[in-house]
Amino acid sequence: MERLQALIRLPAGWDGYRARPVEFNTAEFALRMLERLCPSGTPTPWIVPGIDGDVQIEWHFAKGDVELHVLRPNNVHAWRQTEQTGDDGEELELTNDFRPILSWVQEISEPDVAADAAAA
Amino acid sequence: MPLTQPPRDEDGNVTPHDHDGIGAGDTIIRRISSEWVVRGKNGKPRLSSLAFKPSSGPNGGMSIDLEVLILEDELSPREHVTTPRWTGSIWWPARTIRAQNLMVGFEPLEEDPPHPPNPYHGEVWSKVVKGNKRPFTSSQQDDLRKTADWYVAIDGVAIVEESEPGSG
Repeated sequence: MERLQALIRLPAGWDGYRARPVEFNTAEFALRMLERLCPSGTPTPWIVPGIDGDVQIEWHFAKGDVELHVLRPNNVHAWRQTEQTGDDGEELELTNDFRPILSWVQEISEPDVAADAAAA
Repeated sequence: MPLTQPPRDEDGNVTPHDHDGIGAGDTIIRRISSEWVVRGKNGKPRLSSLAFKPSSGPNGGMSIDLEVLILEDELSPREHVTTPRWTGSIWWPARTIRAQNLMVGFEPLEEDPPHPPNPYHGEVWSKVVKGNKRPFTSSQQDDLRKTADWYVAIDGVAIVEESEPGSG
């Protein structure tokens, strides 16, 4: 929440060129999306501003990466890369149904039971 | 030698092009904001993929500075790309960007308050149009990341994530 508030207050040209701050409506949509995607226990993502008032939500774990690029409300480009998806990863265009992403985030963030057992 | 004026549409906007006057060995600089620093799989700071994506607007490209033009005006490129506020920056030779099937063009920017003019500004554009956009592919973004080097480094931040110990 605080991070999104900071991003809508970025100065014009924050990227050294002519980037705009994150749009209020886009930040609000991203917040609602995160509320649905992040029940308690879900790791906190990185939140990164785009140059056109857009925002990107990112999770990075040893098992893989998930990035949700919120271009504007109801226009989200989702991408993930895991060992199974290969280098190019897997992409989805989403509007307001983020159920596929829940499993993406869970898959990369859940503890590696086999590795933990081996380490023990 | 100054670059020839870039092609423009009827509204005066620069249209995507690969400028003949930008030589293969010319240094292409991209400013990098600290807002684009995330922690990667290894828990260490690295750049977000947003640093390697073009604007999502019509005919949007990825902003760059053309070092040769700054030098021709006898200015310091390092000072230019860290003005008006401090940012890091990365660079490639133009040939490296073109090898990724991308175009390197010239788009001088006039003053537009609060933005200062930038007569050395350029854009990297995709050759492929989807709708009215020119997105970079995942492969192009990945290649841009892997081939970039710091021009003005952000301390402690990697461009490419280092592999975790033992991951090969």
